[in-house]
Amino acid sequence: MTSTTEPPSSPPAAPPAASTPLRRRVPTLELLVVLLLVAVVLRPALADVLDQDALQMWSTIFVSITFQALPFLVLGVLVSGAVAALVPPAWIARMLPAGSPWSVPKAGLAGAVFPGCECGSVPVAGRLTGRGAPPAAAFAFMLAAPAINPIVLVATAVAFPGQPEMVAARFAASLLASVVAGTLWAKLGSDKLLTRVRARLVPGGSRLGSLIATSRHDLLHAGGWLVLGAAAAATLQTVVPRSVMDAVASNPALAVAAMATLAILLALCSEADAFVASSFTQFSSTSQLVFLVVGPAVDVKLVAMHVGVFGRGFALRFAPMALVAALGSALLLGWVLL
Amino acid sequence: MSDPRTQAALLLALGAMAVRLGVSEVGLSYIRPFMQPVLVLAGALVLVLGGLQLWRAVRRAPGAGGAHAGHDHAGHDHGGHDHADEEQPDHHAHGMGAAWLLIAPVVALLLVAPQPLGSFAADQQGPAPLRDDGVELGPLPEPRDGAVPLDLGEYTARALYDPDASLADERVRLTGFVVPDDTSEGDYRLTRFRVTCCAADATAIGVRVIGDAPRPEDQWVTVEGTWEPLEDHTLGEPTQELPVLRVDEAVEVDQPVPPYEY
Repeated sequence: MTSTTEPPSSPPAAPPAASTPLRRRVPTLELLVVLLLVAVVLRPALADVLDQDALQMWSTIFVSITFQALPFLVLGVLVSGAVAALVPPAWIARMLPAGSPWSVPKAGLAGAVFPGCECGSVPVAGRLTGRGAPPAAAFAFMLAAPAINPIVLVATAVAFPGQPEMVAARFAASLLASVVAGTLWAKLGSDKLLTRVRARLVPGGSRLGSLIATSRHDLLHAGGWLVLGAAAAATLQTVVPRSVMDAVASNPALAVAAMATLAILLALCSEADAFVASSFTQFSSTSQLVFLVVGPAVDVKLVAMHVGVFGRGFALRFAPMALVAALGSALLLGWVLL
Repeated sequence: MSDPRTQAALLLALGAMAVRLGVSEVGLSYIRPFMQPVLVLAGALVLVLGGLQLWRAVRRAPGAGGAHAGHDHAGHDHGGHDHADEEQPDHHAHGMGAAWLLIAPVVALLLVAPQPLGSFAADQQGPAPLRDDGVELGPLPEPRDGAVPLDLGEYTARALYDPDASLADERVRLTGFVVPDDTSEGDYRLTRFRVTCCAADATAIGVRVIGDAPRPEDQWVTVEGTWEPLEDHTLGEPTQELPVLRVDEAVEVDQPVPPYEY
């Protein structure tokens, strides 16, 4: 399914409202209105319950992650819509030939110019795959784009003043990790697991119409999973005191494990993670680098989005590969450069 | 979540909330000021996507029955179809179920109306002082109304990591909220969060206040006083102790806008 692409001239598929006569029609719009009304009306009645500290903190972090990520997600789905509607599959096939050993590194390097964070690069990778790019190359792009684009590198330089080697190490380690993970997928992965990649365009009539329809579809789709990931990150931040982590910083091996775990659980935006990493001054430079390389490659929010965009089987197999590639690259570059 | 009108309503609600956070003070509880225009733009784009969807759905409504009938026909005609087509409806319904979650942040804002991070979150991070970020400290700002106004981040940097001891003999003014300190009676930790991107990456900055009366948790106060150097601490060295301010004047104030330091 992933390699087949529909010629743009084919008749548009049936509208998304795929309700057969057997399926009961759920009054979704009415449910939505009732839900919003309940939220507004019950607010005073539930004030005591809702003012609990933990719930307040959870909600603040949950809302923050969601709306901080929203602009990047919108940018991402507009690019993914453009990829789906405007970029001919033949062009992708020529740039990233399926059999070429250079496709994966090329796609990784292409990530350096995509000014997004991880939330935006997932739907773009989904559409690239759907339009015939080799999945391994699409994944290399997906891992590289949030980690090595100029905005993130500048943020890293600001967060580590006087340590330009940290910026170089991050760039090199993340690029290496994306290429290694892409290659690992090409060797060990199975493209059959990409059960949710959509080869076809979301029908919209004209090119602009399908760009809009695809963007809307990807926004609803990836956005839902982003919200799920934000909820998970907010829960972990609320429940696990950050001070617990400080205790393990003194042991080098534990410190690397702790920073990798933190990166996965905190699920920070790649534009912000350098500042958090640099605030852990009791940790070694190498373990800080691990934090910077693992975070944009695999975290709770990303795994949720991978499940949504590519499928559960994919996420289960890809997350360990990305983690191993990121850890290995960060340790290697940390050893060489820091 | 396959009903186009529901999708449209969801996007409109999300976009409207994004615009609201982008233009109001409320938004500063969650994101930084410079992100607000970006959020307005993103919210506007989401509103456009939702609006177009609503327009399409309304325009098509009279003919909806006909469109469905056509689809039913295709749906039953599985004999010669490939797998992609067969999976299509199931895949689609499954994938779009997650879209419902997009209403969760909107409901959380309407129902919980979460406050900026406060003493509960500060306690969660523990009372460790801000680390030395190595940024060059310029000359102390000019005093205003008899005291040098500093944010807690700069106070910490000067109080713990400035070898020139620029705070010596200076009267300073700090603003933060109260985190009760169990270790010593009457004292509290004057606290404010420093935010890099959004409140999810906030770091609590604490200054131990001595010489003031006990105050209610989470109350915002502006205090004036003088720097009290730590015992057994060489300026510039790492420490686990919070910097200390000896206070002789304190006023309870409203929560400042924005509530965070950056």
